[in-house]
Amino acid sequence: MMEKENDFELVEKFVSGDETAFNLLVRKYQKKIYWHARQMLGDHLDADEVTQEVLIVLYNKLKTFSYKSSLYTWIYKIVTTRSLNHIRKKKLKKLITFENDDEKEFVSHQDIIEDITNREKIDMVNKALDKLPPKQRQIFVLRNFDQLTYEEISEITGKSVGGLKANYFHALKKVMELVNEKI
Amino acid sequence: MKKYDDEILKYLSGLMSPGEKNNFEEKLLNDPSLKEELEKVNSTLANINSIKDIELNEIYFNNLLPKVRNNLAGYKRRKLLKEYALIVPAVIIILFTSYTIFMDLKSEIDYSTSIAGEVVNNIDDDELANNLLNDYSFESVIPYQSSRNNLDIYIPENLNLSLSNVSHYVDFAKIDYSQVENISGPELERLYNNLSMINFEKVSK
Repeated sequence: MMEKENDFELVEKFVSGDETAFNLLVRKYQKKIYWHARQMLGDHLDADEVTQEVLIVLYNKLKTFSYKSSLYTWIYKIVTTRSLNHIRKKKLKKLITFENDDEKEFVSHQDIIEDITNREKIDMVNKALDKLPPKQRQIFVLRNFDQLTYEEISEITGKSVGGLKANYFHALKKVMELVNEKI
Repeated sequence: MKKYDDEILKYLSGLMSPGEKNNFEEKLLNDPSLKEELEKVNSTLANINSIKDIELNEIYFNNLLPKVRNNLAGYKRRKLLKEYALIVPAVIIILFTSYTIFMDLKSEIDYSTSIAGEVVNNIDDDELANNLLNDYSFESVIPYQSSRNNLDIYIPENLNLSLSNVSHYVDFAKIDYSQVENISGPELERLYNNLSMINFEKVSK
């Protein structure tokens, strides 16, 4: 609740012209935004692109924030939608340019995870997540990594809690099978 | 591929009804293999979830805000350019349209003036007398015999009629007028307009 009030105060300050309030909001949410994008897209460069895009959208749309939901669900709504759009765009681009996975491997060397073991670990999880349909991946990421409740995910995605549970069940089953296959 | 008990995954997904959940939790207490299986799933999940604790290069996040600010400045510039891109042509169009309208109006006035000159210079006395003066009743005018010199005062300046012409028209109509100043404004205007029209048509032909 306190966090919610702080967020609202920062939004109000920003809307009334205090640019430093935006800096504070960025500092507060940048890692969450990046991580969500990273787990949705599986690649640093894509995650970086979406993160910057989301922060710009945040700057431009913060004036329209209605205070009906918490700021972080509003931000998740933006980042998750942008990530899904990015996946669609990439798929389309792949179809048009006949891009193959070797190029992806080359690009993925640019990363902000320096530790090789950690990088391997995240790659393994990403490979499993890559096998999920985007919507299932979205729910799995929001539920597991972002630790959101079904009610919050429902607010973000606009889907019913029952539907989300069923989607999460299928995603969980697939991920568990794929991860254990690797071990 | 290892198969997982759907029941465990249903339990973890929250898909069970309260009754099913109670039964499952009771079963867990009495079935060590099920409990072990659940622990395995939870451990795998915890392992997957631990990626969110991976340390990221802080330099990236320190540079993110300046990068975004930079992009925002570019975005604002582009937005401003877009607005100017709309405003400048709009102003040019307005100025051009105003200029064109002004020039049209000016040439129309010039044309009207030159036509008016031609009208006056080409007045045909007989035609004027036949077609025009007979149409006017001049009800407000009192006939009298006197000097007609006053007449030229009341003929509009632009008409440039010589006094002898005016006198001729009036003589032709066989009407003498006193106090020509009593001709009402609208009547005088009608007379002038008709004079102009007749001769405009003539000039146009």
